[in-house]
Amino acid sequence: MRPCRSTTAPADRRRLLASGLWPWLAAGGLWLLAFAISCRIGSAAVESAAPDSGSVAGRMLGGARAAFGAHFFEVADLYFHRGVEHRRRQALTNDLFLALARVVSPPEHVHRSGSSVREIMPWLWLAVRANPRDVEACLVAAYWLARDLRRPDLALETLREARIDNPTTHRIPLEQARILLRLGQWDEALRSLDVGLALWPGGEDPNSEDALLDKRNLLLHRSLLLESRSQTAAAMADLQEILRLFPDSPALRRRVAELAAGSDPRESALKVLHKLLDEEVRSRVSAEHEESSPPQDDSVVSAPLNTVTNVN
Amino acid sequence: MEPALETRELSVTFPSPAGPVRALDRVSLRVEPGQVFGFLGPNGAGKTTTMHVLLGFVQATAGEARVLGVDVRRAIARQRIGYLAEHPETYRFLTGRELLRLTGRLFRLRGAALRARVADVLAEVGLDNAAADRRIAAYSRGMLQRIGLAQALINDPDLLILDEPTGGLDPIGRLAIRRLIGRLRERGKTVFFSSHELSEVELVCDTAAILAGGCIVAQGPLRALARPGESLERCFMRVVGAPEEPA
Amino acid sequence: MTRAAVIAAIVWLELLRRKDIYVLLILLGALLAGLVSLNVFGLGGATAYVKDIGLLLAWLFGWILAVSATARELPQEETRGTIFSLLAKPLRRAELLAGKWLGCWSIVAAAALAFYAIVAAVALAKGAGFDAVALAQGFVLHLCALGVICALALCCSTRLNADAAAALTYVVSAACLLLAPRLPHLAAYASGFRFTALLALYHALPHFDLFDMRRRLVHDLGPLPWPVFGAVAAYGIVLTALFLLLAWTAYRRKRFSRGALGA
Repeated sequence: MRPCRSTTAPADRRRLLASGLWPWLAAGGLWLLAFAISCRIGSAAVESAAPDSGSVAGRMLGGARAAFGAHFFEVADLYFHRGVEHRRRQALTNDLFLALARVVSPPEHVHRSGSSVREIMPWLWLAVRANPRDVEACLVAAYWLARDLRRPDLALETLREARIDNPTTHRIPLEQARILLRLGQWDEALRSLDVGLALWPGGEDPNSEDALLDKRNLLLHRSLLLESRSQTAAAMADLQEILRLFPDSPALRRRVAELAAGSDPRESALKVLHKLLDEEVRSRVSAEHEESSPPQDDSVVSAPLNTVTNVN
Repeated sequence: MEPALETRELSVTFPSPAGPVRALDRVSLRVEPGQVFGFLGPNGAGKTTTMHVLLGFVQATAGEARVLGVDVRRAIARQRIGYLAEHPETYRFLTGRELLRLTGRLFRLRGAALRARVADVLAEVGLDNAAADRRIAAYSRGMLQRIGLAQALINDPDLLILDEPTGGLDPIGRLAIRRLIGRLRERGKTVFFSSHELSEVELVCDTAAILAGGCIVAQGPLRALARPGESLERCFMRVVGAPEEPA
Repeated sequence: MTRAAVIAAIVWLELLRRKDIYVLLILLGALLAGLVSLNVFGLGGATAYVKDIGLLLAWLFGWILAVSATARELPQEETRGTIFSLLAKPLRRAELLAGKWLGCWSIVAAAALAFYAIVAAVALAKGAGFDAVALAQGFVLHLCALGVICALALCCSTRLNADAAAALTYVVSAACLLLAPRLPHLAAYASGFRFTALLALYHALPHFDLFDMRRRLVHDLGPLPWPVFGAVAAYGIVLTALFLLLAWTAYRRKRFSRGALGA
């Protein structure tokens, strides 16, 4: 018995096929186009922050590593606040569900301190591993390692690795210098400050407030260090550069005048340096205390984990 | 005496895209206790629908149905009923013995009474201990039928409803079913079963009803249904209006 | 043994013999073992992340198990044909639903207990512990959440096939857990109809976040006050009963007919 044959001519069959398929092809083509465009748009913002990676995981995840890194950093922030999220503006005030939720997940603002800060470190570690180009995560990790966890060696190791992945930023040498100064390693600190100043503005806008404050800190630390080594002229040059950027600094103006007159300043350079380093810690603490007072702004009410202090 | 099974003007209408379909149209049946009742009809006549109404799977649109004096809409009506589906399906991850024990517990049997009853029904249907302790997933077609019968008998039902009990069985299997029905009749049980095997029906049934197009077209003692000298098959063909076989 | 308990026993036997639970247990153990071996900046002593990720996995796996096990129970009975032999017994449909829910919930609860035991053991091995009372409360509230999820999946499966019921349950429960707590914040920036709609949605959706004590457990914030615990547990019981009632309403007159039109 012969198999059944189609009675439609070949040309007709092709026409039928085309007429039935073309809407699907058109829809599929449009979808592919939309998908390609969305990938392009979606990836544009991430490309610049995408960590270069030779690893298989890095190549597979690509720009998603930055997203993972950001998520882990947020979790570290959440851990720092002992599980309390930043308070959000709510439409309801006397709602039973909200009241119960506030008891189940307390919204009272608390911070970790001392050795309990180590609980945030795994998330910072993951943030740094996921996205080594995230300078903020690296600096925050180093900050907590050096300060509350009293492991400046691990902090310096972290910063050293971060410099390999982020060779152009001045912020890492600045943080390295701070730690080295606390350890009394003056020569290494001076070298870090020199590197930081050479790299400044490190890809940032040189007129932005953060960049200017970073330069101020670099110059100030270096000038005090140079002054302690009796390299007064170089110290004065740094102070005058600060005054050019921030003219309204009477204390610095006074110090420059005293150095120019050849007299010993009221406070020695090292003493000022130590006060400066302590002040950086204290201003971080006072920022934390300000957060626990009633919020002025209805939106986000706490300073994030990554407030690395700037001297006023 | 209260009938074992009774329906009065039972009607079932199903919705369908082409309009409502009347699956049963004023079906009235009466089955006396102790009878073996054959429920016959061509495919699509409404036999399974009738059984599903009796078992509570489907709600009647009109009319009423009672089994052992209890309205079929009540769950308690099924306390003394046993049912075997046309293609019995059961939990293949259980062993035969586990299935019977769990089924017995649904009838509130417990402890030693349950264990004894399980042993009895296994012997009744011809499943040995080794088979009973094997997973049902490993059972053959015949064993599946037997475990299905066993779970239908676990509560020693007064009314047994069987849907095509001999379908797909070899002659030995069919003989076993007939013998089982005979034993149940001797114990005063009522058996209500549907079948396409008219020869089987002639061998075991006392009374029968023939359903066609959702209506009862004939009902009564088997010997009264057919004309003198007429076989049950010819009688069936005649009452359902099937075309005559060419000479 | 009540009839519902018999149905639950059948569910237990099936799920235990399917071995899904063992896979999840092994996966949980393996993931946690990998986690504790992390070398975090060369620093030791951090334990909160182990508890956090462990409890997250317990919640995630419990959720997956609850939905996948429950959503297929009723549709499976129908596709297999075993629903006919079940309903031919003196078993009310309400008892069938109660038995299915009880079986699924109890086995998911047992799995959750195993998950919590593994997490607690791993945390202990890392030198951390849980507040016993808080852990007990957290576990009980987690069971309440699982009970609601099982009831929701069962409700969906009364009228949908297994895959559709599971998908719908996953989406709804994820939306309730992730989206519902954010709705008052969104409403704060809305007005008019949008404001009303967002708040109505907020009050209509189940609040799974109330059952989630993970933050208290991870950050050692102590147990809940007993009145609050009682109120949340009661809320869970009410939600479960509501979904089971909906399931019964959908199921009580459902027609089961295999080839009825052809017989």
